[in-house]
Amino acid sequence: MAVNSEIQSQAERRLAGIVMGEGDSIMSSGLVYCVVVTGGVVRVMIDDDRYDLARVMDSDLPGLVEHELMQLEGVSRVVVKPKPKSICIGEPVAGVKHVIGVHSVKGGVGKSTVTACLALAFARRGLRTGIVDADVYGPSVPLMFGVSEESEVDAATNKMNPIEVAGIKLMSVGMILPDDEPLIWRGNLVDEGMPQLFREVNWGQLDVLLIDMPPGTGDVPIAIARHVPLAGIITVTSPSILSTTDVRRGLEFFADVKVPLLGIIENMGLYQCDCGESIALFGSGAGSGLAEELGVDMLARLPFESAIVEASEQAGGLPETAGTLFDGAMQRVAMQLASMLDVEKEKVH
Amino acid sequence: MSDDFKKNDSSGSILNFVSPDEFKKSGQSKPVHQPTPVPGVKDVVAVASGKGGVGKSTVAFHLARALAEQGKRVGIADADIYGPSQALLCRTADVLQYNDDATKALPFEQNGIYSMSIGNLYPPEAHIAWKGPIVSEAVLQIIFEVEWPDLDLLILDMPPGTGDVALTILEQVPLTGAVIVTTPQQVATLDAARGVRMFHNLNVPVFGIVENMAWLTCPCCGEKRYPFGKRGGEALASRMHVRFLGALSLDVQLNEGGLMSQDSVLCYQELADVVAKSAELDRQAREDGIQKMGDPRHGSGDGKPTWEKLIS
Repeated sequence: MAVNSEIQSQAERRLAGIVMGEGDSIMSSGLVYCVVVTGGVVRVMIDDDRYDLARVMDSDLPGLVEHELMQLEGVSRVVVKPKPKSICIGEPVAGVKHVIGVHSVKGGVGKSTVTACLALAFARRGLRTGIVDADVYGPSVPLMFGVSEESEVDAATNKMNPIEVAGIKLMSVGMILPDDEPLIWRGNLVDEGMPQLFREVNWGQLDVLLIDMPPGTGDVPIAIARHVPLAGIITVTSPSILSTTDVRRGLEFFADVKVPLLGIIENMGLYQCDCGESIALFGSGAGSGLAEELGVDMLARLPFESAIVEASEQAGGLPETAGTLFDGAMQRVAMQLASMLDVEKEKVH
Repeated sequence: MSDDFKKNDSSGSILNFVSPDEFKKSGQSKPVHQPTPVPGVKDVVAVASGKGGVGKSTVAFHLARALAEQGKRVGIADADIYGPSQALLCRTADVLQYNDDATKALPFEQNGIYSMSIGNLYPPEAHIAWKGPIVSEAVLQIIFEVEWPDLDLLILDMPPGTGDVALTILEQVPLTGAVIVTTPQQVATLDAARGVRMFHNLNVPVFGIVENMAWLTCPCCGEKRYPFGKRGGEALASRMHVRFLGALSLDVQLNEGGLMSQDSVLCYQELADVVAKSAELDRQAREDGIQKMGDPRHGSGDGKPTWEKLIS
C-alpha cells in the first residue's frame, strides 16, 4: 500500500488539474489550503478565510474532488472540509506555562489514572504540576488522590485554592460540590463553568497543567478548546482495535480546531496471570496502529495492573501505587513531553 | 481567476463545524416533550452504565442477539453518539435508505436484528463535536425518525454517564425498563449506582444489574482470575435493592475471533429471559392498574420509584 506522503503528492497533482473559472487551478488559487492523508483517508482542506465555504460545498467541487482522488491507489475515503482553525478565544491561564489535555473519546480506558501517573512523573522531575479534573459528570481525581475536603475561596483574590497532594495542585468539580449526586450541567452552563475551573483558581506558578478530560467530543472538550490555549493533547486508548474508530473521531476534532496531538498512550495492555502467562485482555495493536497511521509518537504502552485497580478502590491509594508501577514508563513520557514543549529550558526556580 | 467562491462573510460561530445538516436530512426535527410511543415498538429497554468502557454496547448487542434467538423481533438504537459501536458490532453498512415518502430512515438489518447508529452515517473523519442539545436531537431522531418494523423490543444503547443527553432520553423516550452494566471495580459500581438512581428518580424500572468482565479463564493454566476484583456488581445490586442478573466472563478469545464461552452464552440466555418477561410485566402493569394512581412516570413527581409507592 502506498504511504501517506506518496498519496499526498499524487493527490495534490490531481487536484492541480482541477481548474476553476478563468484557468487557475484549485491548488494555485489557494482554494485548497492543504491535503492531509492518514491511513487511506484523504482530507482536502478548503481555505475558508478566502473562499465562501458554503458555496464551495454546494458546488460540484466536492463531488469532483472525490471522484478524482478515489481513483488513486490506496485511497479509501475522501473528505472535503474547511482548514483547521483554532476556536480558542481565551487568554493563556495566568501563571501556567503549558496546558496539556489528556483525552479519549472512549470511556473506561484509564484516562484519569494515566493523567495522575503522568502528573506524578512531572512532579518528580521537579516541575510544578497541576491537574484540572474536567470530568464534570464523573470526577475521579478527588477519590484517586484521597481528597475529601472542599476547596476554599481565598478572601484576598476571591479565587479558589487548589488542594495540593503529593506535590500536585488539584482542582475538580468534586471539590466544589462534594455531593454524590450526578451533576447535570446543561449546554451553556459548561461553557460558562469550564473556564472558571482554570481561571478562578490560585495556581501560583505552574510549569505543566494537565487536564483530565471527560470522554466524547461534547460540551466539555469544545468548551476547553474554546477557552483554554492548549499546548497539545495526549490520547489514551485501550489496545482494542474496536476503540480505534472512537479514538480517530477525537483526534479529528482536535486536529480541526488546531490543537496539536503530542502522542498516544496505550493503556490496559497485557495482564499477567499468577501462572506467568501474559494475557491480552482487550486485544492488541490499537495504539501502535494509530501511531503509525497518524505519524505520531506512541508515548507508552502500559500493562494491565490489578494493583492499580485495587489502589483506586482505596481513597488516595493511587499516587503511591501508580507512582511505583508505572514510574519508569511515565518518567520516559514526562521526559519526552518536557523536551517537546521545552518545559525544562523555561523552568524558573 | 474565478470569484465564484469568494467569501463574503466570516463567522466565528462554533456551529461552523458542528452542523448536523446531513443528519437532519433524515427528517424534520420536532421537539418531543412527553414520552410518545415509538411506532411499531412494544417495549424500549435501555442498556446503561454510569462509566464508559464497561462493555455496555457489547452487552446490549449480545442481549439483542439472545432475544432474537428466542424468536423475539428486536432492534438496537445506538444512542451513544460520540462513541457509536453498534454499526461495527452489528456489521451493518453505511448507506442510509429512506422509506417511500422519504420521511423516515430505514433501519439496517443483519441476522434478524434491526439497528441504527450514528456510526452508519458518519465516517470517523467526520468527528462529532456536537453540543448537548444537538446530541439529544440526534438521539431522538435515531429513535423516532426511523421506520422500525413491528418490534417486540427495541434495545437502546445509552450514552455513558448521567449527563443531559441521558436525561433527555429518560424524559422523552417511553422506556419500559433498564438494564445496568458494571464491572466489579469500585469506581465502576459507584458510577453505576448513579445510573440506577437516575432511572429511579424518573420512575423507570431497573430490571437489574449485569456484572461484566467478572472474571477471566487463563488460557494457559485454566484458572479463574479476577482482574477487576470480585462481586462488585452483585454487592451493588443488593445495596440498591435491584435484581442481580448475572456475571459475564471476560472472553479474551473473542479478541482473536474466537467463540463466546458457554458460561456467557447461558448468561445471555437468562438475561434475555428476564428482560423479555420483565418488559412484558411492567408494560402490562402500567397499562392496567397502576395508571389509576396517575401516570407512573410523571404523576406524583416525588422522585420515588413506583414500587416504593406501592409498598408504603
